[in-house]
Amino acid sequence: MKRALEITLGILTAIGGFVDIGDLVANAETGARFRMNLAWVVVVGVVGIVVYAEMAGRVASVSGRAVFDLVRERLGPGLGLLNLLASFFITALTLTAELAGVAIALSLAVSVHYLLLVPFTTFLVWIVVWRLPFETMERIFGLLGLALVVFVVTLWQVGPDWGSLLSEATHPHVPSQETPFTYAYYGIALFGAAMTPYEVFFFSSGAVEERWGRSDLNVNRANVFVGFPLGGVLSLALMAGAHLVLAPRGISVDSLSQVALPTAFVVGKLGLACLLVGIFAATFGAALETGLSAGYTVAQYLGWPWGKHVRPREAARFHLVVMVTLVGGLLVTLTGVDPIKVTEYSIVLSAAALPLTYFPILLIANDPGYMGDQVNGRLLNALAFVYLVILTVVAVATIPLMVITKAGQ
Amino acid sequence: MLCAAGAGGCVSHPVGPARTLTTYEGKAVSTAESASSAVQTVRLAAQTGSDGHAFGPYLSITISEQEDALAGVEGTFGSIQPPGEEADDLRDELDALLSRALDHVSAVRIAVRRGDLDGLARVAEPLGGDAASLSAFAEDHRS
Repeated sequence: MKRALEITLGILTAIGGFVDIGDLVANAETGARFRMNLAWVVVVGVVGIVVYAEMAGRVASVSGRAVFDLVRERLGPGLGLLNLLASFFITALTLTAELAGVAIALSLAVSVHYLLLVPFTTFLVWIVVWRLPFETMERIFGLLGLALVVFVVTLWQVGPDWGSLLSEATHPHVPSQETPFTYAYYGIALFGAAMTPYEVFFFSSGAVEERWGRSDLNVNRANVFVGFPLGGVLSLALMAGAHLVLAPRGISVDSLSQVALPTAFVVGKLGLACLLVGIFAATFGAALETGLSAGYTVAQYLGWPWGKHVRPREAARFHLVVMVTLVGGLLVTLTGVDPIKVTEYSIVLSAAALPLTYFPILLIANDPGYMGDQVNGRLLNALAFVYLVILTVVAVATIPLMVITKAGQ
Repeated sequence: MLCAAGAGGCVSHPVGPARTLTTYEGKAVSTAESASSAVQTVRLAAQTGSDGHAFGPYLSITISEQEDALAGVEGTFGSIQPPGEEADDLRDELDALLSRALDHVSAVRIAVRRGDLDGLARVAEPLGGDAASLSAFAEDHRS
C-alpha cells in the first residue's frame, strides 16, 4: 500500500496537467470536431512529458534542487528572467481558469452560479496550500482524481467498434469540414496541454518537497511511467466518448457541463456523481499545482526559501507570491471572463514557451557537475533532442496559427 | 496584437463586420451551426433526465448554459448589419428559427427547475424539429 501511495505525486501532477478544465474541454471538443484524428498528438505528448518529467525528477533527486532553482544558475539571470516571466504569466493564466473550473464543477452539483462560488473555492485552495502537508495534499487530490476513470467506463459502456476506433486513430486525416490550419491549431493545443510547463515545475519541486534522494530514482520512474500515461489514457477515453456520443448529434463542446453529458447519458447517476467528484479533484489539483508553481518559480529564481516542507514563517515570501497570484486569479475570474477561453489560450500560449522550459532541463540533465553518474544516456538524449526540435517548431507555429484560425474557429 | 486577439476571443460571442452577402451568409451558417449544437445538447440532456440518468442541479445548469449560449448567438447575429435586401430575407428566416428554438429551450429549462424530470423528453420534443431546421438552413446556405 505504501509503495502504491508513493506514486500519488505523479498521479496528481498528471491528472492536474492532463485533465484540468482546459484539457477536459479541449479533449472533448477535439473528439466532437476531429473524431479520433488527433489522438496521435496525445500519444506524442505523453511520450514527451514522460521523457522530460523523468529528467526533471532525476535532476531533483540527484541535486536536491528543483528546475527553476537551476535555471538561473545555468542560463544566467537575463535568460532566466525571460523564462520566469513567460512561465509565470502562463501559470497565473492557467490558475485563473482552474479557480473558475473548481467553482464550475461545484456549481454542476449544487446549481448555484459559479461566480458566486469562486471566492469560496479560492479560499479553499489557499487554505490547502497554507495548512495541508504536501504528501497529504497529493494523496487526497491524486486519489480522488482517479474517479475520472469513469471516462474509460463510459467508453466501455458505449460499446464501440474498437477496431474502427483504433483504425481511425492510427490513420489520421483532416476531416472534410475542417481546414489544415484548424487541425494544426488543435494539434498544438493538445500537445501544449500535455507538456504544460507547470507540470515539470510542480513535479520537480514536489520531489524536493518529499526529499527525494538518489535512492528514490525508482520512485521517480514509477511516478512518471504510471502517472503521465494514465493521464493520457483518460484524455483519449474522453476524446473517444465525445466522438461517439456528441459528434453524431452535431454537438460542439464549449462548456464543462457538456463534457459530463456522455457519461450521464451512458452510465447514469452513479457515473455522473463519480465524474463530478473527479472533475472537482482534477481542477482543484490543477489549481494547487499552478498556485504552488507560481510561488515555486518566483522563489526559486530569486533564491528565497520556498515550499511546504519549511514552516510558512520561514518561506513567507513564497507564500505571499502564492497568495497574491490567487487573489489576482480571483479578481480576473470575477470579471466574468470565459474561463474555458482563458485556459484554451493559456495552453496554446504555453506551447509557444515550451523550449524555454525544456531546454534548460536537458542541459542540466547532461551536466556531470550537477548529475554525476546520473547524466542522460545517448538514447534518451536523442529522443529529448527530437522533442526539442518538435517543441521549437510548435513554438514558432503557435502564434501565426492562432491568428490565422481566429483561435480555432 | 496577440493581446487584442486574446481579449477578443475571451468574449463569448465576438462580432465581425459583414460587408458582402457572402460574408453575411457565412456568419448566418456558423450561427445556425452553433444554435443547432446548443439545441442538440438540450435534447440530449432532456433525454438523459427523462431516463433518470442525471440530477436536477446538473441538468438545470447544463440547460441554462445552452439557453444563454443560444440567446448569445441570436443577439450576436442580430447585431450584424445586413449588407442588402437579400440579406434581410436571410436574417428574417434565421431569426425566426432561432427565436422558436429559444422558446422551446426555455420551456425545457422551466420544466427542469420545476422538478419535472420525467416529462423532459416530452417537453423537448419540438427541439427535434428546430435542430433539423437549423441544420437544413446551414446546409442550404453553405458556400
